[in-house]
Amino acid sequence: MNTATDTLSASAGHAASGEAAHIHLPGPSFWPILLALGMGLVTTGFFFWATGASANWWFGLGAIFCIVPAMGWATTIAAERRHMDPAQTSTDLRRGFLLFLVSESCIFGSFFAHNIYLRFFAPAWPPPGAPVLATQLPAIGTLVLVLSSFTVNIAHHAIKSGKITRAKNWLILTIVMGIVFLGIQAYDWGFLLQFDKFTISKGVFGSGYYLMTGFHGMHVLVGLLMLGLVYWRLERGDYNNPTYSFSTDAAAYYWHFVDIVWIFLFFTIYLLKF
Amino acid sequence: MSTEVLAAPAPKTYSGLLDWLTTTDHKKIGLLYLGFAFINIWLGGALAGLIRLNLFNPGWHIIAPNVYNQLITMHATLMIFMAVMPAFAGMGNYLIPLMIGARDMAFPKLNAFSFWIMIPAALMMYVSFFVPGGASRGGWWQYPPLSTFQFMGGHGEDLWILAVILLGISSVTGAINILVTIFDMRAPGMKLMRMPLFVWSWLVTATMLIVALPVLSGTMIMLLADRLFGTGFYRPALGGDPLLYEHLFWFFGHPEVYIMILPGFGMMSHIVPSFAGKKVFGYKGMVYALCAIGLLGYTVWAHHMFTSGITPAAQIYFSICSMLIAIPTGVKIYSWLASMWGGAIRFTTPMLFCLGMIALFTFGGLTGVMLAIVPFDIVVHNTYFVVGHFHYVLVGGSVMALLGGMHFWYPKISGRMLSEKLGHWTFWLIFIGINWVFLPMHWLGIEGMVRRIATYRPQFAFWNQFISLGFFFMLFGGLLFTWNVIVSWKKGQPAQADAWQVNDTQQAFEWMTSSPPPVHNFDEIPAMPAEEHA
Amino acid sequence: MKFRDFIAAMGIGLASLLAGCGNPQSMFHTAGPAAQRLAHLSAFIFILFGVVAVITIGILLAAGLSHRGTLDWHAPWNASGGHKFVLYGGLVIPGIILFVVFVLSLQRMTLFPLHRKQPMSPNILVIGHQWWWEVRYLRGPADQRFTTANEIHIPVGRPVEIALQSADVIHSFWVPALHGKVEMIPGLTNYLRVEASRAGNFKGQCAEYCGAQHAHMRLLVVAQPPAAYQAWRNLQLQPAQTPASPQAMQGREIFLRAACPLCHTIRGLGAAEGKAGPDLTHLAGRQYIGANSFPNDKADLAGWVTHAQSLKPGCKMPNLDDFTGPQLRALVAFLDGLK
Repeated sequence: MNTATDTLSASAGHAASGEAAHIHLPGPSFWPILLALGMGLVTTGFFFWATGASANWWFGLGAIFCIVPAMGWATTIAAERRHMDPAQTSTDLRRGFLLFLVSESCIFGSFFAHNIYLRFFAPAWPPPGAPVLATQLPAIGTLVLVLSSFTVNIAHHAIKSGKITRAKNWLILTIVMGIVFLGIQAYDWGFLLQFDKFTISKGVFGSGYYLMTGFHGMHVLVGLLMLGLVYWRLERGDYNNPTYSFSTDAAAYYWHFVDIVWIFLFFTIYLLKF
Repeated sequence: MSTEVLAAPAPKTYSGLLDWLTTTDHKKIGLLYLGFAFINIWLGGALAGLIRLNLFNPGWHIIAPNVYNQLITMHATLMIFMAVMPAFAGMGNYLIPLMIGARDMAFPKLNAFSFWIMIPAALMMYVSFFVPGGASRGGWWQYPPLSTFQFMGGHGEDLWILAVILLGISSVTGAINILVTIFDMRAPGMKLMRMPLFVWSWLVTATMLIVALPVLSGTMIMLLADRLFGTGFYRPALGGDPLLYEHLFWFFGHPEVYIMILPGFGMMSHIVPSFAGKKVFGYKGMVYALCAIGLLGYTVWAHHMFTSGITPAAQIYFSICSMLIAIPTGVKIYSWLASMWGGAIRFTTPMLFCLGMIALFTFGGLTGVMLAIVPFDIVVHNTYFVVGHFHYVLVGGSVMALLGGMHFWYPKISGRMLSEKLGHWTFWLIFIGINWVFLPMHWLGIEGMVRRIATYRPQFAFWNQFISLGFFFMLFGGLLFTWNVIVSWKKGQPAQADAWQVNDTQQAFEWMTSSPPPVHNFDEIPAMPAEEHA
Repeated sequence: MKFRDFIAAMGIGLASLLAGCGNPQSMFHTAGPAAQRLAHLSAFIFILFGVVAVITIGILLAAGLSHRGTLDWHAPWNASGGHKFVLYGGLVIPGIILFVVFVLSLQRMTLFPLHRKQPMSPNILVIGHQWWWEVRYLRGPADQRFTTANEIHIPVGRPVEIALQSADVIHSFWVPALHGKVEMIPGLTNYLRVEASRAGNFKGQCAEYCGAQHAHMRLLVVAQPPAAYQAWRNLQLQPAQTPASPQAMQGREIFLRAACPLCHTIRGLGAAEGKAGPDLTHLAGRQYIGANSFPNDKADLAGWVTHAQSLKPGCKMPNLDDFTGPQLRALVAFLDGLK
């Protein structure tokens, strides 16, 4: 099933390192349970908000319990990794992150499946009453996002080879491009909402359009956040050791992922005409 | 390869409750999972008891139909998402690092998070019983439009959806952790094709989880939007399609079935040869069968929808694929039988559960193949025949395998043996109970009793009463097991490192370390023995 | 519950079991060619898979019990061989069995005109509602069409094509004596072709969970000889009968003044054109009320009118319990006269 990893990892397993005296086990941590609490609070808050009750306290508390443990967790891991084999932990984290992206793409997959199924089986597609989506502006957005995948790649390589200034510049460019993309999307939404009076509850076409672009937009936002964190850490000079590069890898992979999803999304929603 | 590795400071430790809340030790987290599953299997069992009480006589209406529908929905939800899945996750958590010779999981904190995120989900499930309108009553499939707000007011359903999404996060993060652990942390020399079969079964299960659970989350996000934000994903009036929901749900739902049985298969492949005094028969065949089941599991979902009006071509395709799954499953069953053949079989409690599992799962698997046959399925679809079938595979398969696994690895976990005498009693009570309760259900289905009905026509009364009485076998079996587990924890016979003399004939890492294992699992990581060339 | 009641309940159960051989809802109690062929295939499958189960569990017992030895005289721990056993038991024999079964099932699959794109000219349209069945007879010109509810009459010996739709949630149409089940999905139309080979009352049931009263969404198909069917049909085409007695006349006025016409239609009764509930034009001709849940007699009708929510909690029929005794009797007399 996976012979490549077979040879690769069996030799480099954590277990390989050291005698009993050097056994390193991570200590206890409050962060996981607190983050779980925070996510529970946010979910409950979402429930109250969506069902029309007041939810500010839940969201506020939830946000604190999400952000603080997440930061604490990241800090702890960064500290812990100094006592561990950095190459191996990076491999672990990278693999874990890629698997996470697989699961993310499966969520998107369910939305795509919904859309494509209806194209085949709905009595008429696009359904009567759906506006014709303008493609020029989103096409520009697509171009910007695709190009930003290249710029983030340059930044990524620059960090790996220690060219910090170069990395910063390209990272800034990437972030700007991401913001431009989001701006274009926001303009598109505003236009549809204001002039076409086209809302999420105006039929399945609108539901799908807003859900898919919105869900993707949230991912772009998270991607920007990750790039921003990388930039912040560049400013702090955290990346003098290229083996601890997981956070840059993660941000770059995530950005590529967001980009690829958008290409499919653009094709499915805007271009496909049957 | 490595740069400088600094010496680790001794980690802080807590004791008592704080220890359990903050632990990142895979063994303690495994126990937390198992405890969580234990509580929920009792709660789900209590709901089953209420269901059987209501069905004792036709037309009694002890329980209002609306409440009854909550019971069936929550019974399924608790048993699937909060009992069987966490139980297997707990066993996986506890055993996988031990079996592959690792000191912990790849991401110990993520592991803790995977467990703790289930707690808010569980609380939301429990609380949903008490919100106006009660808990979700859409059946665990939640077919729209029934599950849309128009036909199911109240917000119990919304809590259900959100809780299921949280449980999905738990499963996916847990699966990622297990996959990375398996890929990266095996002892030197343990190639993939030399991994213990339980680890293999979790490799396949985790892969399935990562693909299937997000699809459920996506499907549920759309359902929630339909309920709360007025979207039309599944609402025909807005151009949505309920049949599409069925496709999406079962694209998750059928792999879910294998997610709930494959780790059980893995455990069986350890226990059966251990007590036959042989090594497992046909290791490669077992691995290929696991992978085949995992792959085919994604190609068969619409056999749950043969009566929904899908095209005959689709029916034929899904029928063929569903039947094909019988072949790797058959390979597994016959490999277990071959593993036993000619062995010196010790009829210990875990072995009894495994033998029972083979018998019951064979039966449930065969009725499953019958259900893949379109003309037969359209007759018995949604009748008690199906209820009987999936309880045979889930209780007779998964739960029996789990009980076998619990009895087998309990000495490793606690350092003490379970009482064999009570174990035998537990086995016979549960085994008779399963057959008593679930076998007549097949007959009820043939007689025409459909599932998910709060009351039935009088001609079905006898067998329903019969089945309801069988509940007590399960109840006493469960009580006995609980008693055995609790009492033996402190008072059982002390267990040796290799409590069952498994390593007389095998080289199982988990039996090489002490019982219970030290925090760091192994003082010295065991070496993988040289490969034989057979 | 007292022990005596318990024994009594078990007694009733046992009696119903013995009577169960003639259970009109059993898949083997067939009354039409389609159901019969399904039952034959099913019987074959039962026997085949029963044999497979017995053999496999037999091998399990043999493997478990025949070599119950000591560690001294069992097969060596790494004994191999037996690959043929797994090859045949797990691969070849199941393969052959599955192939045979599959071919047989393909043959039977021609029975289902399920494909909704297939052009059909249905005789009857059945629309599922929470929790009753609307039945529209479609054949012929407009004046030959009519609507009824919950009880479908079909002529013996003639194939009848049924279109299936739903007005709210997913239901499933199932009359075991005639055919397998087909879902009724809102927004889609499915088809089913049934044929009764003998006269009789065939019970059915909604087979897809559809909410609170799923259990009480029952169905009755009455197969009649063609002449009787034609007579029934002619009667259904008539508007409702004029009440025969002064009491029933009074009942009609009560019906019209109460909430009834908002949901129910009685053809020939001007204002009563509600569509939310079953058509009552020929109510008294039906065998049951409440979607075949309760017998259709005066006592149950009165109970249904006043306490529908106790009999079938959650259904759309409200409790109309503010009638006086004479009013209720008059109303029931009117309803009972709707032959």
